[in-house]
Amino acid sequence: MEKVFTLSACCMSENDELVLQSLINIIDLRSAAHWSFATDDSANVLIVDIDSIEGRQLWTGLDSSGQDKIAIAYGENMNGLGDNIQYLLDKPLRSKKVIDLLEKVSNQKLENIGAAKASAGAYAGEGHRRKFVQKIQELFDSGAWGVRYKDQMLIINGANREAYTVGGLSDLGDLAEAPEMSMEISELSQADLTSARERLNTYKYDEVVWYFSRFHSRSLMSELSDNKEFKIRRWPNLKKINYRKEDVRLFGMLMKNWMSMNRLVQSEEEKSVIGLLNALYITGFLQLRVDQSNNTQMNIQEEGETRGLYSRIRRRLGIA
Amino acid sequence: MSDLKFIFTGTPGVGKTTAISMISEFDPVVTDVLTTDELSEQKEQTTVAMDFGEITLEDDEKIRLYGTPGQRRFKFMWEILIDGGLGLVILIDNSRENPLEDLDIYLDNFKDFILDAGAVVGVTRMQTHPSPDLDQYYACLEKRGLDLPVLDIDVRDKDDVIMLLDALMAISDYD
Repeated sequence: MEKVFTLSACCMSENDELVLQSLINIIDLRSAAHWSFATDDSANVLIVDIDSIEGRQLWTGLDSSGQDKIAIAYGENMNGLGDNIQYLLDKPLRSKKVIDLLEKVSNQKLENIGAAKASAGAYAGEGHRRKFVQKIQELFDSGAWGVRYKDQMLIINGANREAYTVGGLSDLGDLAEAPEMSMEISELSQADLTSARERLNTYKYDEVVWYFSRFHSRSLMSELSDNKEFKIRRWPNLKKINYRKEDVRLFGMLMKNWMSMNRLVQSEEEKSVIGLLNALYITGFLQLRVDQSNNTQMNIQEEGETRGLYSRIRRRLGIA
Repeated sequence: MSDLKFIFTGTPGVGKTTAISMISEFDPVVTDVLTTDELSEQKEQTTVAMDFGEITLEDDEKIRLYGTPGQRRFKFMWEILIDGGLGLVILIDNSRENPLEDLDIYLDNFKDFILDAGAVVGVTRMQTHPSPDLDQYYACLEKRGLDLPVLDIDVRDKDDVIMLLDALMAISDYD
């Protein structure tokens, strides 16, 4: 059974409403349910600005109306809302907080009703992708950190003295314990562990997810083996990921054109492409084309005058 | 020989001159004078015509780097400078009061050039001023039907400036 969430912004500023509308596609991609935006009464998820008089009145009315809607209180002053508020969102509106909260809403509701997303555009591996990202998020929320050790990326959980890496190519990217590292850190005192963390070049959540997605979880991309088309509408924050020089050209290609695996691997090294696509998919940037019947035939451009010029500029800047 | 150039534009004080100086072969030629209007509290000098830098390719071909004056009263210079350009770098200072409105100004004024040649948006000072975040910038672009990269950068970091130019060339490559 499909679960559909429609979101509405209640008593919010125009700017906040526009931000929410723009985030819906990202949430729809990342979530196991369908998400859309509604400007009428049909919405089943409401974000209510409770700092306004109208918002407060609406909030009170929702509480007593018995309507089956999910209400999220959004504001700076949460006083007087009652004790049983399930979802809160504080100001100012931050994209990451909104996305995380709405993912939490859909995950909790889906667990309750046992529903799963089943649309033509969804990956069969969507549930695994979510679990994979959630596991890493939970570890980092509890204070874990990433570190490079013997040419691999590890997540160190100082609390239980365990180290994790990503499973091999045959599985679906689950985290596996790294026994050698776990043994080493179990012998360290807390002070030594803290000191090691300060000395070492550690990695944050975004970098770890990107690295793991890129270099390990190949099987998450099995759905793109045919001519399904995809692109990106947004670039990842290059400051937060360990990107390669050649990635920038691929991001440009994927932003400007609907691409398929067949077309990409004609011009680029397959392993690198799969890794990058995997990372874009897991971090929610890859957008799958819904109407696959209208596949365009994008030709990889020949080495024209401008491309030749750009190659020379890149060489001059040291990035070719 | 035609003038091959990239143009850097953006709000006053965002770091256009600094960005050009990071990659130019020589210290940028600047046309700065003492600031006498409300901007004087933010910076002592302001660009009145353009900044100019250059890089030379292996065959002695020159790529010119132009910085537009930031203040809108010098808008006539923007139209002169972009003529025939390879692409536009729009730098936005995230510490200003309304950075998204600032972005709108440049998207409006360079609309035709952006559609023709391409642009990239570099957002500065995000470390100290994280809001609006990159998703909000993309929302602003998507409202206009524009697919442009938006990058968190520090104009004092040479690698960041090179990353901006690389992103600009990447989308121009596949337009």
